Amino acid sequence: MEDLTKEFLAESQEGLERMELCLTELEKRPDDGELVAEIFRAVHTIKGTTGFLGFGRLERLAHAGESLLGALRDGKLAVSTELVNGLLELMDGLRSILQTIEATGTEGERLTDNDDALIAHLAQLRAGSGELSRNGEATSQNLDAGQPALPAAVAGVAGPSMQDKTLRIDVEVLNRMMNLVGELVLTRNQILRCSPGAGNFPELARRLDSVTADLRESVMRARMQPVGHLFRKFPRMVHDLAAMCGRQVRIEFEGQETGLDKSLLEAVRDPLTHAVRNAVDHGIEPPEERAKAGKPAGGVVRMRAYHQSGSVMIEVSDDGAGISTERVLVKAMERGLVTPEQAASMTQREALQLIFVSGFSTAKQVTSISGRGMGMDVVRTNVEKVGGSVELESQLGLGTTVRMRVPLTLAIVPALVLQSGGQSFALPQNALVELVYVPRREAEQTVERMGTTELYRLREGLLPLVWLDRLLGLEQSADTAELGFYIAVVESEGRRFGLVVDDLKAPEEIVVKPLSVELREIGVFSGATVLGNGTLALILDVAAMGARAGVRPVTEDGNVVGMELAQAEAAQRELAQNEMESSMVIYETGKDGSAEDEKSGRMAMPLSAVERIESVPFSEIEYAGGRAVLQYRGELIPLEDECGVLREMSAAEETAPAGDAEKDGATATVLICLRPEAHGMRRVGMVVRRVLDVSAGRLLAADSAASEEQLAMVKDRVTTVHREFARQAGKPQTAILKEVA
Amino acid sequence: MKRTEARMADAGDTVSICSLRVGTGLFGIDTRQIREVLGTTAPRRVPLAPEYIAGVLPYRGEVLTTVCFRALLGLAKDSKTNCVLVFDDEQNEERFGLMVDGIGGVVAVDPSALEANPSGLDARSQELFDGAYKLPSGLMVRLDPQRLRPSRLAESGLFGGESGPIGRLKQERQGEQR
Repeated sequence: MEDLTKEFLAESQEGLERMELCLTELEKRPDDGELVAEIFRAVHTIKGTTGFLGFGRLERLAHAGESLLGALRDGKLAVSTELVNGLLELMDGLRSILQTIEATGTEGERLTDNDDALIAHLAQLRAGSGELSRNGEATSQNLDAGQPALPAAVAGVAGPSMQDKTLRIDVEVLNRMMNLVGELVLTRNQILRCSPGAGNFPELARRLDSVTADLRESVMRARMQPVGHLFRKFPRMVHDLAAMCGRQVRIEFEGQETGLDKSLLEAVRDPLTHAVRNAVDHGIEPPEERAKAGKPAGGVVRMRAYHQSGSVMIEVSDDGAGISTERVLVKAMERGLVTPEQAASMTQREALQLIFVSGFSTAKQVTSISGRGMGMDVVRTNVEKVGGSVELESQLGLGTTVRMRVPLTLAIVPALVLQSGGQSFALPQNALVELVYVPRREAEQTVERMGTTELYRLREGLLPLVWLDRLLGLEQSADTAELGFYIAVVESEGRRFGLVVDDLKAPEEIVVKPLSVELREIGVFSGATVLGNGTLALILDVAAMGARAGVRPVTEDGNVVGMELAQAEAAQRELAQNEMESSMVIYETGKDGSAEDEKSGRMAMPLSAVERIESVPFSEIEYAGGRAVLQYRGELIPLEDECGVLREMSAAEETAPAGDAEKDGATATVLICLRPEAHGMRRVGMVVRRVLDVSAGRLLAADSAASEEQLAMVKDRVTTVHREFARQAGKPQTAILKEVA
Repeated sequence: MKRTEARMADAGDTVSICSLRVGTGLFGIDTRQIREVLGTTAPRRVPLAPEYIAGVLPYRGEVLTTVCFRALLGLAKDSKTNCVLVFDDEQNEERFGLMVDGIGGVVAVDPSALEANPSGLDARSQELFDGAYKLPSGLMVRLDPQRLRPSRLAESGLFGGESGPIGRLKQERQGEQR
C-alpha cells in the first residue's frame, strides 16, 4: 500500500474517533455549535483527501454527510435523536469503507458494497420536511443500515487495525531518545578504548548506567499512551447498548490523561469492554425501576483512571442495582462452587469474589449482550495475564465498581531471585505474599502431612507446600537438609500455596524476555531474564505452578486445605466482627497441674497472644538461676512451667538409664507468647502438655463476685482463660506485634 | 523438489560446507544457512523441557532456545566440549541454536557428491539427515537447519516431548503416592 494511503487511513481513523466522541456529546448538548463544526471538519477532511486519492465511493458518502452537516452547522436543522443516529450510521459507513481499503487496497467492488440507501437516508434527513411523510420508510432504512454496524460496535472486537500497530510520538521525545543513543555510542567508544584497569573506568561505568536509565525511561515514556485513547470508543458503545437494553445511560470519564504502556492498553481493552457491558446490561436498571427506587431515570457509568503506588487503576462504576450477595451465594451453591456451610461463613466481599469463578453468572436471563456465564472470569484472566488484578465492590441498590489494577509496564517487573536445585529462578513480586524461613531443626515438626499433601502451619491457617525442585524434576541439593529452607507464600488466581526453595537471592528489577513456543508450552515459565551476573534465570508462573501441583483455588469445594483456610479466615472475621469473640488455643494442663482448673484439665490462651507453637526437644531446655530458659531465634526467653511438664520430664530423665535414646527424643510443647509487662511486651514460653485445638471462643462477662478468673465459652464448654493473657483476647495480632516493635 | 532446485543452482560450482563433530560422526551444514557460531557456552537448562532442548542462551537481547544434537542422536547428553550455531528462519521468525561437540573447518564440496538418505534409515535419522556427501575421507552427513527447528522437532513427536522429564516426573509422583 502506498505511504500516502496509509497516512490517509491513520488520519481518517483519528478523525472518525473524534467524530464519535463529538456525536455522543452532541446528544447531551444539542446546541453546541463547536461540536458540529468539529464533526464537519472530520468528514470534510476525509472527503477532501479521497478526491485526489481516487476513492470515489468514499467521496460520495462523505459528500452526502458533509451536506447534511453543513445544513446542521448553518442552523437549518435541529439536532434530534434520529439525526444523531443517522450521523452514527454515516460514521459506521465511512469506517467500514476505510477498513475495506486497509484490508484490500480497494473500496470494494461487489454489488453489496453500495451506500445508496445510506446516502438517500442522509439526503432525506437533510430535507427535513420529508421526514414526516416518509417516517415509516426512514425508520426501516434506519434499521437496515444500522443492523450490521451495531453488533460490531457492541461486540467491540474489531481486529487489530492499522492504528493498533502505529504509535504517535512527540518529536521532542524522539529527539531526546536520539540524543541518549548518541551518548550511549560515545560512552561505548570510550569503554572500548579503555585499557584494562584504567583509572577512569568507574566513571565510565557510572555514565553508562545513567545513560541506560535515561534511555529506558524515555522509551517507556514514548510507549505510554493516555488511557483516554481507550475510553474513546465507550461513549458510542454505551449509547448503542443502552438503546438495545432500553436503558438511559450517561457515561462519564475521569483521569483520561493517565498514561499506560501501549501493550497493556491493548490488554485491558477487552476486560474493560466486558465490564462496561455488564454495567449497562446488569448494573443500570430500566428507567421505571429506577424511578421506583427514587433514583433519576438516567443511570451513570463512570470510568476512572489514576495512578496508585506504581500501578494504574482503572475503575468502571455504575449507580445501578448493585449485586445481591444472597443471589450470588444461592447461585454458587447451585453450581456446586461452595458448600452451604462455606456460604454461611462468607463475608460480603468474599461472596462477591465468587463472580470471578469460571462459569458463573447471576443474570436472571441470558441476553444477547451478557449473561452467558463467561464474563467476569474472562476479565480476571485477561487482567492477571498482564500481571494485574481485579476487585469488585458492590452495594445493593447503590451500584457496583469493578477495579482493575494494571502494572505501569510489562517489560520490566520487580522480582525476587531464588534458588532451587542449584538453579536460579525469578519470582514476580506481585504474586509474593510473604517469606518464611524454616531452620533445619524445625523442619521436621513444621511440615505436616495430610494424605499426600504436605502442609505448613502458618499462623491460623494450613498452607499447602510445593517443593520447587520436586515440581521441576531438579536434583535436590544436599545442603537443604542442613541449612533449612525458605517458604515463599504466593498467591495467584485464588491459589495460595507455599513454594519451598533452597535459598533467596536479592530482589531485582528484571527485564522479561519471551520464551520460544516449545518452552512456553511447558506452562511453568512465563519468560526468562538475564540477571545482574549475566546468567539466565527462568521466570516462574505462579498460577500455572499451583495448577500443576494440584493446588486448587480456595473457593472450590472438596479441597480440605482450602476449607481449613476458609475456616481459619472465618474465625478471624468473627474476631473482627465481635470484640468479645476471639480465637483461642486450647491446651491440656494435666491432672497434677495448677489447681484452679483441675476438673476440666484444659485452659485457653487467646490466639492473638500466641506467636508460635513450638515443639522443643527437652535437651534444648536450659536452666539459669533455677529457671527454665530457651534459646529462641537468638533470644533467651523464660519458660513458664505451670503444668509441671518440665518437672515430670526431668524426673523421668533421672530415673531412666543414662543414654536412653527414647528419652533424648522427648519434646515439650511450648507456646511462644507475648506477655504484657510493665515495660511493654515480653516474649515468654508457656510449656503445656498438649495443644488440643484452636477454635473460636467467646469471653464471658467477668463476674467480679465469683473470682478474678476470666472465663470463656469455647466449643460450648466453659474454659478458663489464662489470666495474664486474658486482656489480649479480641485484639488483632498485628496490634500486639506493633507494641513489641 | 526443494533439494533438486538447490542442486541445480549449485551445479557447476562447489558449495562451502561447515563441518561439525558430534560424537564420532561428521556432519555438515551449508555455511550460507548459518547466522553465527558461538564459542563454548553453557546454555541454561530448562526443567521439564523435552530432552532434545539443551537450554536457553542470552543472544542479542533475546532468549535463544538451543537444540542439543547429541540428544537427538540418542547419545549421552554430556560432552566435554560444545559449540552453538545460530540459525535464522526468515519466514517464521524463529531463531534457534544448535549445540554440537565442535566445529571443524569449512570444506568446499561438489554438490554432485550428495547422495540422498538411504531407504534403510530409521525414522529418526530419516527426519534429521538430509543426505550425505561422499568425501574422500568418508561420509559427511548433510543437515538442513530447517529440519532441526524446535517447533518441527516437537511436531514430529519422534524425539519425545511429554515422555521426557515430564513423564519421569509423573512416574515419580505416582511412586511417592504409593
